[in-house]
Amino acid sequence: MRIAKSLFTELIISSLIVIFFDSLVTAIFFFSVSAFILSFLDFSLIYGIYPSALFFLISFIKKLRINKIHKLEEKYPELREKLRTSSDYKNKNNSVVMALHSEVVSLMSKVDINAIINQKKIFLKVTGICVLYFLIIMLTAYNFRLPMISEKISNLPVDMGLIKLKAGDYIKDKINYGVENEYLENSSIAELGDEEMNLSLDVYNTEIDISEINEPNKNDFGESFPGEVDPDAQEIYDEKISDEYRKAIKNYFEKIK
Amino acid sequence: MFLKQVKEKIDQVTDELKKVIVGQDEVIKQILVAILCDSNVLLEGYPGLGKTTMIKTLSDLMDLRFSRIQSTPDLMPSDITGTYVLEEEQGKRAFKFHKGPLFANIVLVDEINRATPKTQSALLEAMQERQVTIGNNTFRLEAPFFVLATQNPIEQEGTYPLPEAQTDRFLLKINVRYPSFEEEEKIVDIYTSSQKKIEIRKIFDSSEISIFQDYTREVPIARDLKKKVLKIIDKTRNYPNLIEYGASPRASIGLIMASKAHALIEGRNYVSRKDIENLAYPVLRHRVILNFEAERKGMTKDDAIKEIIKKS
Repeated sequence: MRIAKSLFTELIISSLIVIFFDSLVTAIFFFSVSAFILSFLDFSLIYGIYPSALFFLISFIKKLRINKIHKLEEKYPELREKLRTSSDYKNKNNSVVMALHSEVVSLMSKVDINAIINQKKIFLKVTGICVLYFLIIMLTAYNFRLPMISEKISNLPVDMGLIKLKAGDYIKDKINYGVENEYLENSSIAELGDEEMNLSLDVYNTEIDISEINEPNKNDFGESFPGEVDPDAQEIYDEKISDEYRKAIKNYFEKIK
Repeated sequence: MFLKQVKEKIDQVTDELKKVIVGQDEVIKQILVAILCDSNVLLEGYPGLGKTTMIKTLSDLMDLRFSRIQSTPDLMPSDITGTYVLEEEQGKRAFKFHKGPLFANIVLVDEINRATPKTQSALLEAMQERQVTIGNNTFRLEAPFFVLATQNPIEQEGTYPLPEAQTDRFLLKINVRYPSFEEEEKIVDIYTSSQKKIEIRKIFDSSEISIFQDYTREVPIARDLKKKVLKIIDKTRNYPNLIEYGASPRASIGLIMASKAHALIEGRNYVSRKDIENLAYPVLRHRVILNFEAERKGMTKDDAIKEIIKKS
């Protein structure tokens, strides 16, 4: 009974490790492919991390659900029906069951690691990862990319209520400043940008304190401003031009007629 | 190692039986399954197929007491259970109980469907309870105790067919068929050429049978196979296209036990899918009732069971 228990415990642990490793390699391969495409299109590689992480989780959970005992029995026909029966009875202890456990333990000693892990697939994935990263490095070194697609996507407008941003700026803001939607949907924040800021620039002192936002100063022209403002046309438009210049201008216009 | 010993013993029994019975390998195996399950068998076959000879030889091989009951319409329950007889001993008279043919290890009841329902119920009570009650006294039947009842599929006039509730108490219903041409040739050679009685040696005794029965219960069955058994039985209850009445939970127990015994006879220490599929027929054929539609199509119970196994 103890032998059978330890056998199946070891089988479970080994399977978990193998599944984790396999899922991780697959996720890294997926990230490599997406990184290759993103670098080619001049996008940040960080966009590939979320789908790769999600892919890893999905792949890991999916592989966890596979019945490893049935899989082993398929690969080793001599274990068929014996392994699952022994697993179901690993806590039982009678003469027939003990004989079954002994038989299963001796058969399991012939089981190869290839039964649990597909070495060929892992090799191909790792090779693929190396090739892709080599290509990424080469693309980056020779600056070979298709930026127009990324520019087009960046220039798409993104409507965030009162704020209209370009897609590229919006994405950059999201990544760099972690601005939340709720934060931006706060109308008082949106109105803040519409308020006039009173900035005074000191030539000798370049410190600007933009946190001080005041109402614009209203200048009182009451004392210095004249009560009545009458434009004097004659004074404004009467210019002192000499007679010689006047005659020259008059002759010029007659000539061009 | 003990599995090897079990297989050897079973093979010896089969080999010894083959000296007397030609063919019927599957019948012999199924009877051995019932013995290992400590249960009873209903044999259905035409007369002259060697049913009685087979059972008699088996009892000799296993060193078990054998008795035969020929059922007739006038057979009374006391004829099979036993009765009190007034006897005189040393000048004193007293009622002494004389045991009937039921007080044996292997009881062959020929043409059980000819006995009256009263006698049938007395027999079935003995099968179930392993005891006989006469008046105020209860007598336990000696272990191991097996009843092998036979039925004739023809000559149904004047018979009292066993109701389904009673046939349910038999683990297996075995169909005994005619031998093949080659087998019949061998039979003819054996039984017409020599007057010498065929010597049968004892293979094992009642204590060994008890040990083998314990081993049978210990044989493990995988969870998914257990579920398969339950699905098959459940399907018999939920298949109105073919089946009027399905099998009871006794069938689930019977099928699992029979599969375990079959695995042990084959020398395996686990139950296989093939065990279940092979034994579903003898376990279920007397526990299901076909509906009119199935009978109209000319389907047999085995055909219905085959379809159920395929669909579950």
